Amino acid sequence: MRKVLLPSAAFLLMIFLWKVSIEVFEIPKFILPTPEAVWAAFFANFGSLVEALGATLKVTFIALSAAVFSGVMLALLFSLSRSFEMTFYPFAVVLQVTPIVSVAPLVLIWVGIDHVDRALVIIAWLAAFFPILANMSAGLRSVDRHLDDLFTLYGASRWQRFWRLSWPTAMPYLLASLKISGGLALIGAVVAEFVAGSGGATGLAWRILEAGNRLQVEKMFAGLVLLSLAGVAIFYFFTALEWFILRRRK
Amino acid sequence: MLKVRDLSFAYDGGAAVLDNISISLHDGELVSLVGPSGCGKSTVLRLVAGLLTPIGGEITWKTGQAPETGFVFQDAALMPWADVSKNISLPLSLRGQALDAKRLEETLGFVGLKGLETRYPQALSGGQQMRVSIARALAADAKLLLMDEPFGALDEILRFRMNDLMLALKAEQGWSGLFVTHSIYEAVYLSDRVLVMDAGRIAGEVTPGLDRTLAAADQRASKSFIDAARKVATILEAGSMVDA
Repeated sequence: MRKVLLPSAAFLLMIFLWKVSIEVFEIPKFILPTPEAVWAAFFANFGSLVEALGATLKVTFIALSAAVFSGVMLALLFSLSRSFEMTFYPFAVVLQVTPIVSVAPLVLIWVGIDHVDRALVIIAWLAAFFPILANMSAGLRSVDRHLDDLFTLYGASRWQRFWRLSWPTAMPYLLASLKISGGLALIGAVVAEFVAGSGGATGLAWRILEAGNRLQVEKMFAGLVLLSLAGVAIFYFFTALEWFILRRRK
Repeated sequence: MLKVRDLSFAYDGGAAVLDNISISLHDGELVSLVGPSGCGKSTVLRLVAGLLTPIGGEITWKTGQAPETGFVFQDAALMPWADVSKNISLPLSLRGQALDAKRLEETLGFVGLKGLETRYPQALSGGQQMRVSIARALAADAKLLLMDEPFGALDEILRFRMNDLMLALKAEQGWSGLFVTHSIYEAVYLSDRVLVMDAGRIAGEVTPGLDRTLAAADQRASKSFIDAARKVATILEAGSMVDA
């Protein structure tokens, strides 16, 4: 109960302080709109905002699915060959540490001229890929040594060892990485839309950018709120999935 | 059951962990390996199980090939994603066989876990988890049980109970066992013979000869028990002296 009450109370207090600050400090509405104005803008533009959110979420989930598939597959290859891991892991690290904002324009030039959607997915994938690879690799390496011995003693095949030992061992690691990569895929999609600008992107970031250009600050806020809610929903969706799959292990 | 002759082992490029040790284990016999940490006790078990390859010597089996073997580790090493029945049936299921309901119930009965087959390991106490581990080792009708300090992490009262459970199971099922322990008293209480190890060698052998018709507490207080424990302790204190 406290888990719900405390953040709810903090949220209400924040709204109250926001409203009071605008009145006390006489902040112009084109700098900080009132909560009611944001609320009104949200409902006035509900259709277009939700449609734009749908486009952003589509990119997010395609990129996340690709990140899960590629991250898991590469982690499996790493677990099969130490040499392969030593050869290619540094490249994965390079992908992770290079700021996505600096890579995005290049991706848009290479891929996005004719297919902006593909460029957006690739950029969001770049953001989401590494945590899945790193966590899955760690998960596959954390097999219980004694269980591994038992599988050897009882003559387990390579497939049995993977499917009945390595995969379930790595599952908590994969689920934890989904909570991180889900949010990163959304951030990647938004960054990609900002960089793409008016070059064909139709997502929520583009709507926020468009509202900014027209000084519709309350609409920008409405878009940001929707984006935050989407991020929170993704996080709690994967938290619930993690709880459901691992509930008997706790 | 098995003969180990002049067995030697060293990890890659390292010093010898085992240096020409010879051990025999007769059918239905339980032999303990006792000694300080790092003396090579666990390595013997892993070599016998085929989990390691010796650099010298040989292991020969009475029947010509290794019998059905169960292994119990210090930690229960259970699959947290599987319930008790799936953990117990692991050895059979890896061979594409199923543990039938009657055999499962029988095995659970042996280790006092009836009614807990659908529980997950996290819902069991440490002692119950170890019982599942023992049940798993026995489920495939093991003729040889290799036990690597299986009760080392349990408190003393639970350890006494588990020792009695092992003796009852052995009497009922007739398997042979190699038992690694740090505890002189546990080794003496459980074993037909105690092999004392030191620095990769067998430093001595003691035969407790306890009267199994006595109650557990009386066995532990008997002269045979105390004499055997004293002999084991004397060998250990003498270091690598080969004398029983």
